[in-house]
Order: sequence, then C-alpha cells, then structure tokens
Amino acid sequence: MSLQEPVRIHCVYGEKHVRHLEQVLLPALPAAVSAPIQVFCMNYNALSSARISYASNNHMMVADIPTPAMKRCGFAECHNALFRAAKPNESFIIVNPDTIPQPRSIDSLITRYRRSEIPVAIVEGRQWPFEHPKEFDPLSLETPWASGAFCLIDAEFYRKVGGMDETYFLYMEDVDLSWQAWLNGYTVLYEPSSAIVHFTGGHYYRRDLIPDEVRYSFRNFLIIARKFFGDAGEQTALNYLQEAGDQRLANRAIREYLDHFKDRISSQYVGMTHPCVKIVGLNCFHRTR
Amino acid sequence: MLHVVARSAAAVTEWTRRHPTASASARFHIDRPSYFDVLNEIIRDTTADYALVVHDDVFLSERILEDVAELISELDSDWPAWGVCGNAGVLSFGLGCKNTKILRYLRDPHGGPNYQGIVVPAQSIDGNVMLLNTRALRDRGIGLPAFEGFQFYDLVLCIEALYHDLAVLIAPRLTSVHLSGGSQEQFDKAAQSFRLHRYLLQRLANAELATLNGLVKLSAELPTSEQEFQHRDTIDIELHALQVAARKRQKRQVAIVIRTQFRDQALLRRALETAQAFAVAAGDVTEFKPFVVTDRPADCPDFVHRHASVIAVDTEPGIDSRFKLIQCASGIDADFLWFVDDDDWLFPNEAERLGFIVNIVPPNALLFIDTQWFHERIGSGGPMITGNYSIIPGRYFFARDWAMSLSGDNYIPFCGMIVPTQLVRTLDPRLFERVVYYEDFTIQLSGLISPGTVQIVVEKLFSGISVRETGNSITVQDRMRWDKSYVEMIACLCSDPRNPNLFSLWPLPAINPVSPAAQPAAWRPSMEAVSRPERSLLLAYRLTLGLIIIAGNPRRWIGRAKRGLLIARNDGMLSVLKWITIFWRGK
Repeated sequence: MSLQEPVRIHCVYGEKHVRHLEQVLLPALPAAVSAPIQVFCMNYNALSSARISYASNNHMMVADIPTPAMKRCGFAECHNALFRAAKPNESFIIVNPDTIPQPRSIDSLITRYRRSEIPVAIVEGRQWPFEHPKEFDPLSLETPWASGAFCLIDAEFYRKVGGMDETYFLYMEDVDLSWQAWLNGYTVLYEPSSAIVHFTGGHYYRRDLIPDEVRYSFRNFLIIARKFFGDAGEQTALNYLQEAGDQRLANRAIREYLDHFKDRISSQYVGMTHPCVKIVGLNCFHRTR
Repeated sequence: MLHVVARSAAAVTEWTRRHPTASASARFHIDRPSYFDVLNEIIRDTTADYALVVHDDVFLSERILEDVAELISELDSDWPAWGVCGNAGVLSFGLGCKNTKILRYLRDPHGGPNYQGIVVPAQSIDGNVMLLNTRALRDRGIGLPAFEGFQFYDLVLCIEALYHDLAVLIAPRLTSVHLSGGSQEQFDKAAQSFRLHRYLLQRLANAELATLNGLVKLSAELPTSEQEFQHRDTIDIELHALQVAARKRQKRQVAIVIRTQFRDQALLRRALETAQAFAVAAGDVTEFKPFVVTDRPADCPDFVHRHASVIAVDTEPGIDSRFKLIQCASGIDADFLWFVDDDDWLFPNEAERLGFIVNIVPPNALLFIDTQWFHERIGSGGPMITGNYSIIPGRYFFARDWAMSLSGDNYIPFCGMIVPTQLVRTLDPRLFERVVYYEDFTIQLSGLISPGTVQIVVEKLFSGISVRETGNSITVQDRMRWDKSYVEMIACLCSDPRNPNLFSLWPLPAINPVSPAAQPAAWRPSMEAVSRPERSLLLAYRLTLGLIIIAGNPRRWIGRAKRGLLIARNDGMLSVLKWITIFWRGK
C-alpha cells in the first residue's frame, strides 16, 4: 500500500454506536492516518434503521454498506461483507465502533506492515487504557493472536483463507484468524506505538447479567478447540468447561455445540502445529506478560 | 380508591378499628386466594385513575387520604411516567452514609425508616402499601400472570410496570407501620417456583434479582445464544428502572469543567476526547457538556474549540488560580458541575446510567462516583502513547467511602464527585481567596454541611486519574502549600454554623475515661495481656503481611515507600519495621 492510495477502514456498529462514530471516532481518523481514507461501515442489525451519516470530503469518504441478511448478523459475516464491498488491494484496517484512534496510530500499523520482511497477516494496535495482557516478543513483536478491536489485515491473506469464520457469530473470530495466519506461513505482530482508546466492557461486567462475551465464548471455545486440535482439543475444552464457574452456562454451551456445531466444523487444520497456536486455559490462548 | 386485602372478616374489623376515618372509603377484598387476581381486578375492572392497595396489618397515618391526594398531584407533575409507588424498595444506586440500596419509609419488625424526604425511583417495592396509577397501567394493557398466593405479587407488578415503561417509585408520604415482617420461609418456597422463573426469564435479562427478601437466582433453562441474540426483548431491571423514571422529565445539564493552562496538549486532548465520548454516550435525558476554563486563553490550541466551549478568566498575575477558575465555572448555566483535571480522562461505559441518575435525583444531590489512579510513564516528544509508554492501574477510590472524608482525610478525588452548581455559587467567598489546594475537599465538605444535601453513590468507574513522576501537584515533595490550604479550609469550615453535627459522624479521638498517666494498665490492657513471644509472633505476622502487600503491587506503594525512607532517616530502622506492619491497614 502506498501512502497515496486510500486506506480502507472497516467498522461494524450497532445502534448505540452511531453517535460515537459520527461525533468522535470518524472525526479522529484524519489525525490517525496521513493518506486519504475510505471508511466502510455496517450496522450488524438489519432490523435497525440507525445508519451512519457523515459528510465525505476530499480526504475521507464514508460509506454505509447494507447488512448482508435481514437479521442481526454476526461479526465475521459483517466483516466479510465489508471486505467484499471495499475490495482492498493490499491491506485494510478493522476498528471497533467504541474506540478513538490516536494520532498517527493507523500510520504506525501501516509502517510496521510495510517494513516487515516476512509475510505479515495481521498487525494489531495497542489498546488504552486497559491494555490486553497477552504475551508478545519484544524484539520481533510477534504475538500469538491479534484482537479484532483494532488491527491491520493483509488482503491477500484474508482472501486466501476465505475471510473470518462465520461459524462463531460473535467473539473468537480474531483468534481463529490469527491461528490460520500462523498455520499458513504468515506472521501476527503487535505494534505498541499504535494506540487506540478502547473502553472495553470487561471492567464493567455485572454479576447479575451474562455478557455476550461470556455467553458466546464458552460455546466458541469448543468450536475453536475442535477446529484446530480435533478430538483431543474438544476433550481439552470440555475439561476446562467442567471447571467453569457458571456450570449452567457451560452446560448450555456444550449442548449447543453438540446439537448445532460439532458436525459443521472443518478439520483442515487438525494435525498442523505452531508454537503460537495453543490453548492454555478456558478461553485463554496466550501466556500473560 | 382505597383497597384493603384482608385475610378474614376479623381482620377487616381490626383494620376498621385502627383506621376509623379511612375505612369509610375502603373496599375490602376478603379471604382471596391470590393477590395477583386482586391486583388484576383493581387494574382492569375499576374505573378509578388511581388505587391505594394495602395489607390488613398496616397502620396508616390519620391523614393518609389527604397525603395520597397530594402525592398523586406531585407524582403526576414530577414523574410523568410513573406506574407504581410504595414506601420501601430496592434502588439502582446507593443512598446516604451507609450507601443503602434498600430504602425504607416504614416501621416493621426489620426496623424503622432509613432516610427522609425524597421520592426516588426503584426496581421494586414492598407490597404493604402500593399506590397504583391504574389508568396508566390499564392504558398499557398490563396484567399480572395467573399465579396463586401472596408472594412475589409486588415484585411481578413492578416488573410488569417497568417492562411496559412505567416507573416504580418510593415516596415518604406512603409511610406505614407494618405489623408483619413477612415470612422468609414462604418467600423462599415461592422463589423456587418453576413458573415464576420462566416468567422472570421472559421479562428480565438479569441472571439474578435483588429483592427485599434477598437475591433470587434465576434457574430456568436458558434460551440458546442465537435465540437470545435475535429476539432480545428482555429488560435489565437495574438500568431500566432508572431509564423509565427519567422518561418525559425535564432534561438536566452537567458541565464537565476542565481547568487548564495548556501545559501538556496531548493529555488535554485525551481529556477532551474522552469527555466528548462520554457526552455522546450519556444519551438525551441529561446533557453533559465539556467546558475548558483557563487563565491563559492566548495559549489555547485550535483543537480545544472542536471539543469544548472555552471560558477565559482574568486573574492577577503570579497567583495560583485553581480555585479562582472554579469560582468562574460556577457561572456556567448548568444544574451540576463535574470538575475533571486536564490530565484525567473519563470512561464512557456507564455514561448512560449516570445520565439517568443525574436526571432523577433531587437538585441538591451530591453524587459520588468511582475513580482510579493510573501510574503512567510517558516518553517525551511525538504522540503521547509511544513504544516506551506504560500504564499501570493504581489505587481505586470507591465512591461508597465518601463518609470517610469526615475523618479529615479526603477519600474522594475531585473528578469523583458531581456537585450542584448552586453549591459552588453559594460557597463562602473567603474560601476562593484563601484556599488554593484542597479545593476539591473544600467543595465536598461544604456540600456535606449544607442542609438538605442528598448523597448519591454510583459504584461504577467513571474517571481515570493520571499519576506521573513529575507534573502532578499530588506528588510534589514540599507539602507547605497543601498544609497552608488545609488550615485555611478548616478555618472557614469550622466557623460555619450550618449543620454543626456533621463532622461528629466519624469517630475521631475522644477523651479517655481514665488518664493514661494515672493508670497505664487500664490504658493499654490488651497489650499487657500478651506475652513477649506472642508479641513477637504478632509482629512477624504483620511484617510478613505488609511485605506481601508491597510485593504484590510495588508500583502502587511508591508514594508510601518515599514516606518509609523518610521515616528511616528520621526515626531509624525499627520505625520502618513498625511502618511495614501497619501496611495491611492502609489503602
């Protein structure tokens, strides 16, 4: 990607994010990237009438892409549809709708991507103020997986693996995509000088509510374990789930997995190994820094 | 309009004997097997606009009918979306010194009233006295499920009202003496009903429900993730109770006031961006609007105007203007002021909740919110966050600790409270002249000694406070200016005759009943009873505990470590050991 070529930024949002996008995130983008910008947004919920309305200018074009189906669509399904609409040549950025990109943050991702001499699939930015504590190599900047909250993705790689796996619906598509990168000979990097303000919900979880992240992660944990590690992975995941704090939720996840997902999971990666593709705990795929 | 649900004819006689005036207007529902049915009849089959439904074992004020008439008028005016009102219930925020979430305007076997004077929204109410807005309930087609018995009818009525966007309130005018505390055993049995849980799961997103009788954990089978995601029509009762209560009420305004001299523009930009994100996330019932107040308007960079209104203040050269800027900020046309330092930031995650709460609390409310220190190491030059940047969460300031500020130490950072603008406008003018530091503590204490102040506690993290090696007034070594401000602050506050009882709420040193010099044994009886080996053991235990706490998060204790070094220099190593042994007591 040359700096003259527009940078494509993909963002999947919900109704509650519209004002933040229009008044905070989009106005912050010109300081984050020096090249022209093309933003492709999509409301995950086709049933909602809330859409992004933002005046494009010479430096930044904003397009709101229709949801691919008349329902609430999953994260991967929306991003794959955005990819088809945006048709990026070399790379694209994905960003969560509840973030504020910091000055030069996207330029830093692009610079890291272009500077690398080995094939890079994903370059992940740094989240602030609650940084993800997962490991990364301080010299090579390699990390086992990249969060989908803010990262650059190589377009050729994305096309080659068929985009994100829509089986998950919500959560864990980013770990899956990172593992596919490692197993296909690509690298996943963490760029600490590229920062985004991301007010993650994890610090606000309440005991009396089951957050989507927990709801889906239990089930998706079984899916990803089977997809990359086969029967042994499935058994490992089941063992971890038996130790989960909320057994009612764990049992539901197991039931859903067995009834609706187990037989649909591809086995193309079973038997392939890489040091970065690992399960170290319940929904934990990395060592802590 | 007055309905008494009575278990027998004898109970009717007894109720009539207790309420000779009100009984003439009462309709008695005698020996009915289901309270749910009674409520359905009252809502559906009567033509009255309002109904007061009470138990047969309550004592009501002699003036109850007049009080209720006045209350209805007040509710219709101030709470346009009200549906149900009671005299005790569960709140969605904390109230007062004890941070209570159960508000009681009644006397029953569990105790007496625990607050005074204000109408507040609730998640649910106790059924001993319930005022129903029957017209509004009827208009929305509200009906209770066909359950039997006398448990959960009040909770289910509240859930139905909230689900249909009608507010649940608690009002002091409905106070009563309730002769029964209810049966916990019967409640617990009813709480196991499968049908009840199925009903609750259809209505609520919550996995457990706070009630006056304790937590109820929902245990019916969960719908699948996909079903749940595609058909979301449940409510989060905690948040929805606030949201519904704020409906159709007049919008309120909170000015987010950032005082600055533009010394660090990257940090200021962060403060402004997050303040704007907060304002956007807060929704429409309360408008949060960022303001920058400065005595250096000529240094104001362009980006500031994109995020905030700028107020320029003329001050005398050479003075520390921080309290003067506050005085000028009190001229902003807003209901409340939220002072945020120019290196702080705001977390918008729960902005909507705060917007609802600001809208529904009394205008003289002093709101306390959670804040946290973050230890930052910032590289020089370029964007603020570079490869060398680091951030480590530090001390957490709990809003619920506000009453501890009455001890003389401040437990609430400036950005941890939202104050009525009127409070700042009416501060003793001498304070603006004489106090420089501790301006936050001064405002907090002035608010607390103001009669009528209502303390509201919102236990969510709303602000981050940057702590750096340099550039923070809280980390300056020379405390002379701090101490000078403190004495000026208490010189003014101690001479203030309003609410003179307030500072005595917190236990502080008192006169010993016996002089220590005369009777040392009585003075330190506990240590006298401990042998030397036991003392050594105790000392070793506390020393180990202190070291573990320090080792667990050393950065957090950097500030205290400096104090430890000072102690070592002045008082020797033994004093340092003693200091470590009391670490476990500290925050």
